[in-house]
Amino acid sequence: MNEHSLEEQVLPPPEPLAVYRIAIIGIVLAGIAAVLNPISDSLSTIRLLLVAAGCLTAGSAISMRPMLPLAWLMGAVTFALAWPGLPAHWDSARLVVAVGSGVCLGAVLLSALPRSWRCSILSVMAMWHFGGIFCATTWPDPTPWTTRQIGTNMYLPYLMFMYLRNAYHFYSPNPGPASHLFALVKSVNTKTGETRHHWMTLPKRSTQMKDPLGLTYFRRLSITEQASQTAPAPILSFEANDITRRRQRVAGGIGGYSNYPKIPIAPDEFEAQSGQYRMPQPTISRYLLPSYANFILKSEAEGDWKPVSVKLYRLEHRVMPTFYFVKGGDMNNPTTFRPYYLGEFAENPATDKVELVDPQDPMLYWYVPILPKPGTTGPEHVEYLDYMSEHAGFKYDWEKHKP
Amino acid sequence: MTDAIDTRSFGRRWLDFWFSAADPSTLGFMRIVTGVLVVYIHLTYSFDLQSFFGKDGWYGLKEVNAERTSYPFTMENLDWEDKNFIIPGYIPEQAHRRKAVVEWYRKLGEMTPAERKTALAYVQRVQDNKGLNAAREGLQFAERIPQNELVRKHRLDMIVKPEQRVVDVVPGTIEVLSEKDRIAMRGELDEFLKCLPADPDHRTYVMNHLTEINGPQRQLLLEFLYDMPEDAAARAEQLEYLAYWNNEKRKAGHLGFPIFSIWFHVTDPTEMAIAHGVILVIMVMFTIGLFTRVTSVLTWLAAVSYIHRTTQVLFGMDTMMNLLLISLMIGPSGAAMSVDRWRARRKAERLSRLRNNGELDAATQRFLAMPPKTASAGFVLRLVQIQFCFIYMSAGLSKLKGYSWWNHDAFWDTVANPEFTMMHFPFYEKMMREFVRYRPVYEISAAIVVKFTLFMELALPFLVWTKLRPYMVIGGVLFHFGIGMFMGLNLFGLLMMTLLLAYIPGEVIRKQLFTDVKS
Repeated sequence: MNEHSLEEQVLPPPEPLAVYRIAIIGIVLAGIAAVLNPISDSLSTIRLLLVAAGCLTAGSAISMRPMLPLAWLMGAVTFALAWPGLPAHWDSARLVVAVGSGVCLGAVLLSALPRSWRCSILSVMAMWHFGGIFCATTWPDPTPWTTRQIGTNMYLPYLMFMYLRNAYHFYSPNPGPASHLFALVKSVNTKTGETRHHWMTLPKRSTQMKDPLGLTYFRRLSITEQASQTAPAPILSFEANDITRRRQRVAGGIGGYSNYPKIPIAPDEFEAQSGQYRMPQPTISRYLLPSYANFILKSEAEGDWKPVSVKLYRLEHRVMPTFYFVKGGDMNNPTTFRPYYLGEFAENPATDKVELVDPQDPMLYWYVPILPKPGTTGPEHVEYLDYMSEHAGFKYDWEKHKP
Repeated sequence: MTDAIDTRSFGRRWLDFWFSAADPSTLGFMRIVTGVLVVYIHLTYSFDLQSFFGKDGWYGLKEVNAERTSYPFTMENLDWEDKNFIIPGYIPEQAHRRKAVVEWYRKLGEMTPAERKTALAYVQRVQDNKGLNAAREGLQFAERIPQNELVRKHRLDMIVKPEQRVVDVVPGTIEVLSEKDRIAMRGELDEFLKCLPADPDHRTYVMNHLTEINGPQRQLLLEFLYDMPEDAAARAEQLEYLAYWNNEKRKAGHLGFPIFSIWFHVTDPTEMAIAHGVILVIMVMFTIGLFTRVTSVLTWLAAVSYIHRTTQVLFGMDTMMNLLLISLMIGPSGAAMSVDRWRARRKAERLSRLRNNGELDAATQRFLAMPPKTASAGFVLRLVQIQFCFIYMSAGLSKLKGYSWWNHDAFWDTVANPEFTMMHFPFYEKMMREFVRYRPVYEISAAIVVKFTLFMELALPFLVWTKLRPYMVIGGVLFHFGIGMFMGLNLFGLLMMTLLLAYIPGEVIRKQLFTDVKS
């Protein structure tokens, strides 16, 4: 005996009419929402509830007997009616119901076909899906032309909708260091006019690991990781000349700034010159960092203290080489951190947006070194010179607040 | 002894590969494990609901909305050359330069199309010159001309009157022009210089930008400037789009990301908390297998809602969770080890007893003994198995590009990373110090671990289809146990192990779980 028929034998499926009745309720609910659409926009909550109930009812009807083509068709109609039934500003939900309607229409065809045809089509769909997965795995640079063409033209909407764009290139080509985000928040007391500074750092195990498996901590690690994507250094651009000139002035070269702390360029043996300027990718510098700064400014408000600006630093935490670790080196010694200045952000009253205060800050995107004190030897207790604190104008207490 | 010859046709074998009936117990068990992890993962979001998904969260609603509605996707055509697929150079990246350049575009936009064409005629002329570096030289020549009107006039005159040349070198490309062309060029350059920003810095930034973009980018930019809409509002919108995305709306194949999330629309903190609570209830229902056909779809929709809203907080674990949820949504994951199955069994028993005067018929007994095998379960398990091979193969091949996987440094960089590993525990640090004390011990261990990683990732996709499957599955479990333990990615490891369950037949799972339990 076929196993399907075994189930059907012991548990007779519901009568089609019973299924259709329920599906019709779904259609009616979504239909009412659709009818209400041109009448009033103020009924959006009611419409939302009607659509949700309608889709749920139609989905339940289908699940009662999934091999009924008419049930799928009714599902498709429900989802189609849900589209106008949803308030216009719920545009992403409209996308879901549109996809839902398409899926139901496809299922009408599949359920109406003989089993062999149905299986054949499903196997072809599976192959198509894996074609998309293959494109996703080959998408990272250098992207082959075929992936760009096939991936973009055939698969992109599908992969994005389903969140299947991961290339699975875990820890490759090489495992990289993790990043921290240090934010120096400047606040003003709205009553007294006093100002104060404090450091806010991310991620921090001691306070930000709120669950036993540390997921809350790892989520924060992802937030800092996002800010670490850098663009190729603009070697031959006009701005590149300005950037280098400004940096040399900060280091105390000819025409140094009088009102800017003197920050030396790290020696080559500590950090290669070529890696000391790390401009974030455009999407990071334009959208992500202002958004991070906006969040920090809003979330760090406390009583009468209103945050007015924030200086951001991304600290790359290098894994200490085995050679130093063997000799007793401290994995969390400040000199193992490579701070890169991401700029000072504040709300621009003219635009009401949180923006970079000075896009021509001479240290913007430069490595602000934390260097071993000259003369110190051995990795065990390296004394250090913290130019990040000096640059920020407020000391970060490394001993008290281990990242 | 010889193997039996498979006489099935290719089509039959193909369909059998995908649709062999399988015991849904595997999917049922995967559902329970995934469900527990999914509930945990989303429960932890309760701590950060506002900071991750709120209106002013780490990645603000405004930014994600702009991304999903207006991000320009450019499509490449099938030719060797594609004007629309040039990496656009409309605006410079640095904010101060961008501001100056966009302001200049605005100023140009206020002109009539004819005036604009006249103002840019010089740039077009040097752009059209096919000489090597002609455009660059021509623009640098223009940049060197001072703003002072008298000096400017004098310099411009040098183009047509070589005898007046006392300073500066007129580029060779101008030298070779006929007198008529020089006169025309003089006029064009004069118009161009007049339309440049008055502020010296801004002027420099505009000139720098025009000079440093490449030829195709410059041509694209000129066309954009010529075609700016005459309607002020439309022009402002176009420039605003350009300033934001460094691209033109009309050049995009399509705009925005086809993504969805409840958090794009529900932003009030109280409403968010209620929605989050409802989602958690749905996820619990899915985990216990209640109305699984419906709750599996809702669980996936909900989980992806969090994912799409703020991708900045995601990592590999979320990808694996999503893959599992998709599979469990498609397959009959509620057909075994679920409340649905329990209800079905009770109903089947009741109906059988009603039909047979209190007795259970043979069919019902079989149904009660184990969930019926289904082709849909087999199909979904096959999908997961193949997907798993893709994951491993891609992870393995991409590692081959990295030097640290060849010289074994990758081992240290992963097990000693202070942010991920247990290095903050003194016992672990002490253990690591002991471990690295003797170099041969360390180096051989690193070699073994790295080679084991590469072997698993590159060999499993092949060997898992052979008789070695059980050993590969065990190897995979050990591998992910190690990742969970030593690299801190415990949830990622657990989800990967859950994916590995797809290789284990349902009978084995039931036998292991219910040996002493009357099913």
